[in-house]
Amino acid sequence: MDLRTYIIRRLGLMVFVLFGILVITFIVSHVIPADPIGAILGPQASPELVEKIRREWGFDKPLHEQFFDYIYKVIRGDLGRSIKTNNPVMEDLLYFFPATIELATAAIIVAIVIGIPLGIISAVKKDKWPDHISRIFALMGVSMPVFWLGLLLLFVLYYKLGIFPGPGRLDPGIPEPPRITGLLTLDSLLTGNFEAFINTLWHLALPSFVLGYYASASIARITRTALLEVLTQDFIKAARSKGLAERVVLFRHALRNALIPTTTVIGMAYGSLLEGAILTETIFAWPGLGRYSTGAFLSVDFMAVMGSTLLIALVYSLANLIVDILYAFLDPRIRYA
Amino acid sequence: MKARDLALVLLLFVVGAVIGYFAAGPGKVTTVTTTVTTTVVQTATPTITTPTVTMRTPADTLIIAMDTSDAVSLDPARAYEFTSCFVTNQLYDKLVDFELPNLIDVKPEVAERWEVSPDGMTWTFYIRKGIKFASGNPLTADDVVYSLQRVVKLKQTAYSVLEPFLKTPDQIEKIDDYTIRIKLNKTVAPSFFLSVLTFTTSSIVDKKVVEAHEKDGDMGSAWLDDHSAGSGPFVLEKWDRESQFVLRANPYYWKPGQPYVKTIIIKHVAEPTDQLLLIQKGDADVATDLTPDQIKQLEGQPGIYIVRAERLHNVYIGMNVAVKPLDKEEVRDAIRYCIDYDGIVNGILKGAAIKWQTVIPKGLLGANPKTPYYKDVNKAKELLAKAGYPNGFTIELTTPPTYPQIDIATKIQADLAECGITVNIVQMTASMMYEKYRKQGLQMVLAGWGSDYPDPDSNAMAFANYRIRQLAWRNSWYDDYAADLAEKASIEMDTKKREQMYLNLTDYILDHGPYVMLYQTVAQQAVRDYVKNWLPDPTFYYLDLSKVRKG
Amino acid sequence: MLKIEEYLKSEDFKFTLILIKKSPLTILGISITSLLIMVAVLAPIIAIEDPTKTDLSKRLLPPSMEHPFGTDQLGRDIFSRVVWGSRISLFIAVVVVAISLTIGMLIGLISGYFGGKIDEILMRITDMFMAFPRLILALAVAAALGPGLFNTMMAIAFVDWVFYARLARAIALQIREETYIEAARAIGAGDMRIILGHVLPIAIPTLIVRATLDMGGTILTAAALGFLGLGVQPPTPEWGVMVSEGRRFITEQWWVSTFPGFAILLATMGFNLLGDGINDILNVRARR
Repeated sequence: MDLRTYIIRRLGLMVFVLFGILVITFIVSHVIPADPIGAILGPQASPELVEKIRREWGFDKPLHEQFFDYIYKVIRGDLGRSIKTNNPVMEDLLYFFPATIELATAAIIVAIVIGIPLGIISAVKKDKWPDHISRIFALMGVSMPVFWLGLLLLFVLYYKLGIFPGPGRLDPGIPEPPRITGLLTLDSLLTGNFEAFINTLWHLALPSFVLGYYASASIARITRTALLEVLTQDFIKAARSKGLAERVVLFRHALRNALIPTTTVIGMAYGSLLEGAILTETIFAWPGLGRYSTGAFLSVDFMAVMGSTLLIALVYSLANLIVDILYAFLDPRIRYA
Repeated sequence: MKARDLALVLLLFVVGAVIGYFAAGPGKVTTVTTTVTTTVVQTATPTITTPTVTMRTPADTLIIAMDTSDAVSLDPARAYEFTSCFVTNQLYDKLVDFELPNLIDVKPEVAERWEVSPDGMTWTFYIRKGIKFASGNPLTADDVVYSLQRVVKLKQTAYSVLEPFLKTPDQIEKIDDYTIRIKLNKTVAPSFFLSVLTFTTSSIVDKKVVEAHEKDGDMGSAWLDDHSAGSGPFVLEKWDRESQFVLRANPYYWKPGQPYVKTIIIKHVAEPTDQLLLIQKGDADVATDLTPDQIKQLEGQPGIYIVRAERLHNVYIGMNVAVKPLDKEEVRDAIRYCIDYDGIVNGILKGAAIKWQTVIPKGLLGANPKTPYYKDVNKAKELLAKAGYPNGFTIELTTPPTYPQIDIATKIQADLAECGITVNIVQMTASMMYEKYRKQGLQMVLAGWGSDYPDPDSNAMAFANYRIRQLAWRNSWYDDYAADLAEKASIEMDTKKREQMYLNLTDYILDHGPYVMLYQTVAQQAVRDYVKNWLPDPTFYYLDLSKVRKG
Repeated sequence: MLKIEEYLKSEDFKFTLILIKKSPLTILGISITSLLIMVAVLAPIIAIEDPTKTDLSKRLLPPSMEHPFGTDQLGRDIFSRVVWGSRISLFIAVVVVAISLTIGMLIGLISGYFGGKIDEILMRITDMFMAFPRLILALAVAAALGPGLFNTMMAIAFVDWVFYARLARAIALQIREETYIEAARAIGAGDMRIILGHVLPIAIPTLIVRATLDMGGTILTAAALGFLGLGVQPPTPEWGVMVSEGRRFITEQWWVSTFPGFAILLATMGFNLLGDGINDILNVRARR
């Protein structure tokens, strides 16, 4: 099938998948024996008040009715209301999402900057010391508990050495740029607030490193494997026999091909960064989607739970979809699978 | 992606970082030299340094690091949580208020004087002239009547504080532009009613502004969730959820000269360790949620002092009487004699608690200081044998998944094991725990109770009276004697008699109730030494930040 | 027994040994993993004290001769807790991976072998689980079932199987066109027999590689759940929960978080190195 059909088919599948996720989330969150309204109103609230609020929210209706109400609303773009914040979930999500996007993007940049060179070194110097050291460095990234690393870095690099700023997105004294995209870096650039821009970058440094370190390991690994594969192929031997310098062979010929699978891994890593964000955001006081969704889950704030899951799953699926399309574009054999 | 391009990006990043470091490095330092001449009330252990004060934060801005995740709404008719009430208190005035550290005599605020009828049911308040809201509108009886009626009409959680004696909006009426009358529907002790009026529910809102933002009959509630319309010392500039509250001084505030700080920023910092780092570094002026060990670490450290306040908050174990063998009084007694209270208070909580074994906290009328229970394994085993359980039994203890609760639960598990009782710990988040607790579905639970206002009624009714479906009911304790006594004490007009009734009630609960009262919370807040007038607050909504100054 | 003896003497095995010797990282991986297993098995002997014994008079003591890793906030010996914790972590890792491997492999093999409608349906279900952010799904399940060791394991296994399914399916797809499979069918072998007898053995090596890599990841996910309060119940010493508990003390009593954190790091690295090593060896062998 041609590329267009493939894309359409995949998009259709994605919608189906998202619907399935909604069903699962709905069932799980309503099956849990929890009373979020009661918890939010507090132990002092009388049972009558709790009942009254429950009725106002429509939580006393039978489950299937609640579900269809919800689906109907979602189709029209209304994700319901958060019990806790009393705001429309859509509003809450638009508010918290950009911070996470900013963090994830910074993290993926870090991951690429660390991962690809590491992978290249490992492949070129295979089984020698640089290979071992890079592999161990990458391995550590995959094996360390994110929150532990974050706290340690904060303690050493912020508190003891004062190189990086403390938790938060911006120093309290600096005026915040007006909210255009929600990404502080972009907003400060767009409004010419250079001071805020630099400050934001500094605040981004530690959390994006902590988050990106984990992803850099998979990128390094894939780069290494792919490059090793490519380096053994005939056209490389041909290039070498032409008398080209090793560096030229490496960068102009080998790397270009090796980076195809790497790109797909980067796409997947981006999606998984959203998960890692949950823990990183707590340590670095980052008001993003990770925190919002964890809070929603722990207090079983139904609408917020469904809304955040939907959003995260959507981003995840889109990342995978783009990656798959890229792959299919580059390698026609895949489309027939 | 060519490698060359990669290298370029890297180079740009490095260059940018280097420029940035020299352009605006982390944090700003301002040096303020002052001579401290004001008479300042410090009720803490001060390590006050020399007059030259170096502050990393701006001198006219107070920065507080706090866990604000519990905040739901700043609408006084809805605000009920710690953070919500703490912030709301700075934005609004009430008819009367307590001025720390005095929690017995109310002081006039919006009302300059008042009268009560001999039967205690009709109150007349005379409103001070000259108060202006942050909008510039003058505060009149219309606003007072509107604010209180609003609470009754909206019937949100905070209304429960007024509900026992204000059932309909027309009980509040305007007499003239500066006089209002409130008719209660039953006799209430005057001190009780006045203290209820000091809770944030009774805040006075700007009627014109609130009505202008009304939507779908919500009486402006959605707008007031995250905006302010009050006459208090501060105005809410913005609330970035999960990020910060920004408060600015009210230009029309009626008390001259105040507030002293012009801006307050309450940063949301959920991790205690993050708060510790911020305050040690000086990037925060106050840190409110440090752990007992972290506080210990800060004691004696130059530049920081600790403000301690015994809170009206008690932590207890609730034993569900409907679950065997907790139905036997000897068994409940045995458990009370098997716990190492001192270990918990001194070992785990270290200064963040005082040993307290009765249901009315220290600081309130009727507080009972008796602590008859202590760890005596032999006595506990005897009691168990007498009750028919010489080999102990197995039971579940539910606890929230936070600290120090998990540590306390683990300690109790170890303690009770010595008496032959096997405890299985079950961690549950608030929503799940609340659901089960409400349905009497827990066995033993580690929980806390905070008094809503400085009157013993809230605690007494909750712990003693099963009829209101609160703690007594949730632990299946249907005791009519206790319920009756609590109800009688609530309407007793004579203060001395009332006190005695509460002492009798707490004694009774000590022996027969389904509770193990573990301790009373002591709040410990870390404050930088250049912050003055941060007073200890037994509640969470009386601290008046308009009197706080820096330097 | 005879077959194993034969194998150990064969050229094949000797070649594998040589490959292992040439790769110091694989040797490192094998050593660390063996160390972990030994510590877990010998825990009652190695541990100094009862890991649940609380003694408030000995709170937060720094590392010393008596307490090589110091004590935690309830006076428990951290060294003993780390040692006993190896059992828990190993147990969780092995059980979770075994469950998800088995389920994933079966689903993947069936899906790939039969193709058609079955494949479509199973793969769409797999897609759904794959699109679900792992931690969130684990959170949801843990929240629904309540905290505790068993529930934590179920939660993680519930999300992990998809990767094995994908892998197994890919292999099944490749293999089913092979002539020897057709031959087997021609002589009347049943489908299940073919799957289990022929396809599975081919799939196992790749899946094992993935499995060893997954063990480390499982330990980390359990730690993350513990961090969020939905993990193992006290007083069970699980490394992840220990790191999470210790984070309040990181400025003064760094040892409470550091030693269990280091244990996680070491164990995970060991598994990863092992997995990588096996992968490399299989690749070299495949090329022969």
